[in-house]
Amino acid sequence: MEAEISINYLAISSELIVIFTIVGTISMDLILTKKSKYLIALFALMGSLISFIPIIFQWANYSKAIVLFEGSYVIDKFSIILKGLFILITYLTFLLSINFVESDTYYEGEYYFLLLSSLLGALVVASSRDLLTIFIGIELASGPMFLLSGWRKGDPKSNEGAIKFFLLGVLSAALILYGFSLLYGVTGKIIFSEIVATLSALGLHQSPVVLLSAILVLAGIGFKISVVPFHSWAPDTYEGAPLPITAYLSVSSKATGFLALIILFTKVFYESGGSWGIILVLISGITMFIGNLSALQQKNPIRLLAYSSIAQAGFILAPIAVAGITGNYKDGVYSSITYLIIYAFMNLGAFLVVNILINATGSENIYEWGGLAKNSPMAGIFAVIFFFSLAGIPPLGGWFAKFVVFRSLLSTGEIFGVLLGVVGAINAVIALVYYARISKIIWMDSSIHEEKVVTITNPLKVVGFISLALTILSGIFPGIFANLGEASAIFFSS
Amino acid sequence: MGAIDIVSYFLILGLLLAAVRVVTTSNVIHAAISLVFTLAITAVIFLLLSAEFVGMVVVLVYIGAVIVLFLFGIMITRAPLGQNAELDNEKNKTLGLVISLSIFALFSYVIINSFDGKMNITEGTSTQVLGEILLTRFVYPFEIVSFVLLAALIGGITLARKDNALIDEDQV
Repeated sequence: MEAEISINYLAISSELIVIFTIVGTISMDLILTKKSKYLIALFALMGSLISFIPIIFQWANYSKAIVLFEGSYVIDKFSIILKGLFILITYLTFLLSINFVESDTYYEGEYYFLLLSSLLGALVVASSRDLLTIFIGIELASGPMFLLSGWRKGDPKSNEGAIKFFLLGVLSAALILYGFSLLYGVTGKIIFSEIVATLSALGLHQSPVVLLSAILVLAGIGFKISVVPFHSWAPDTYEGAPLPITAYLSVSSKATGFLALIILFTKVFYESGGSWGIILVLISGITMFIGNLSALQQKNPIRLLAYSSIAQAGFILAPIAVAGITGNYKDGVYSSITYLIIYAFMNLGAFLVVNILINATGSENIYEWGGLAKNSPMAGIFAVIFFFSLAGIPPLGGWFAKFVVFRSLLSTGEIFGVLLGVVGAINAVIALVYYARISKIIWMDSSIHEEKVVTITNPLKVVGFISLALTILSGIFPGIFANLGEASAIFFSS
Repeated sequence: MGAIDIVSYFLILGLLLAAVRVVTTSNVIHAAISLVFTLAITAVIFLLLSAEFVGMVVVLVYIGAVIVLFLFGIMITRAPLGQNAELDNEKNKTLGLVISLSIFALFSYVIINSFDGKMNITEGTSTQVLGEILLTRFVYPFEIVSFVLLAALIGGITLARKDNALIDEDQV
């Protein structure tokens, strides 16, 4: 060997633990008999929990960003926070899945294997700072999702949703790759900081080729985060996929897409922010309107949450869009990531409620859910808290998320920021209508069914209480997000 | 204009004709064979640009494996061979033409504008250097890619196989 390379294994230990768990689940699936397959679920749960330990140590002993592979892979506070978020979401999704996967004729080992692979992809995206690694991370995060969304094999809806998701997903990968290839063709570099340096040296930041590359990347990632006009797959796929996978898609996949968008647009394309900022402002505003107006008409709770998550994506996008125009990226990233983190837990909670109520009634029509809260006050309370938090009612977490976004939009004084703030305010009101409608049906309408027994299994209770605690705490003590501001400052200094 | 330029232009012309044939023919087998030509010419162009490794990968993986799988897939699934009128979509032909021509115009403008017809082939990357760099500097993405492939493999098999449980309950 001529070239020796030393790898700081401690820095990537949470990825290594996830890799070990991936290999472990698939090997256990090979050995175990059908009756003892539940051990795989336990192993996956343990693995994802253990992979959280290095995150805590890295956070506690943080001194400076660790740079691996000549700058391709960076572990700073920003990536540590997001890795923690991804691991926690996956852990909660496992808990949501346990009863679901056992209750039917699904393949257990492969299910956990694919979810963990997707988690590994998300972890890679969080740290990657070059074109190659980030692309592989995005693909590893979304690839298993194509398969998992078709996991209900006997159901034509699931097949249709998975095929739509797969075809559009492949197209979006091709678009991202085309954008990357243009960027690489112009600069000949793959690490973000070197690309920016070369672009500056050649004076190419505003050139057509960089703008085209930015637009292609935007279109590709637009599919992953399901913003209008790239959202058409989302309702069908969400409806067809198994419910825990739908929750994961709307939270973790979306977060991975946003993370890739934030890294690429604030680290590579930031000089041409004036051009793509306006496109993002348009996309963000239209996304909010179309998402919310479509959600108003939905009877199916899953389609309703699909459109609601499209509308929420518009909110998450808004601060980055305005930051592109003003150039104040630190504030934009801080607001978007804060919204993303709070959104993750309240949306998981909303899916938990839908999961419980669909199982109890066997009905995918919210108008048949009348009076369910009387049978199960706990489910009723979950519903009220998570849906009102999504609507942004104080003192729940969603309030602080919306507050941060509006502050970021309005404080700039930029006309686009103010316009987007007005659009956001109108949409917050529209959204309140359908979020409150569900709570009203569950609590106040008379039951059209005879007494239904609403059972909440223990894993679901754990998911409910963790999401509940995080949703309420983030609303009452918003100070915990002060760290995030510091983290995004570190993100930009490195 | 050197000899290599003339050869290149002929190759590119052939590439275009083959690529158009892939999408215009209404015979699946013809489309697959045209794709072989498209990829073969692409491989030759990579070799001319002294990217020997990429050229060989295109031949081995795409022509050798992917297209053969296509042909086997078409035959094994008993898809209708020969002319198939359903493959032609008459409905949105004008709209599709307008969109693809405008995208073509945009991309050509940008590429001609930025790269200015210059071709800077300094030196080819030898396969040996590529192999070494893959296992040192790029070892991390290299290993992560293996999980993409593993996930696709295992997930694909799981989705495609016949479920015993479902067959027993007559759900399929």
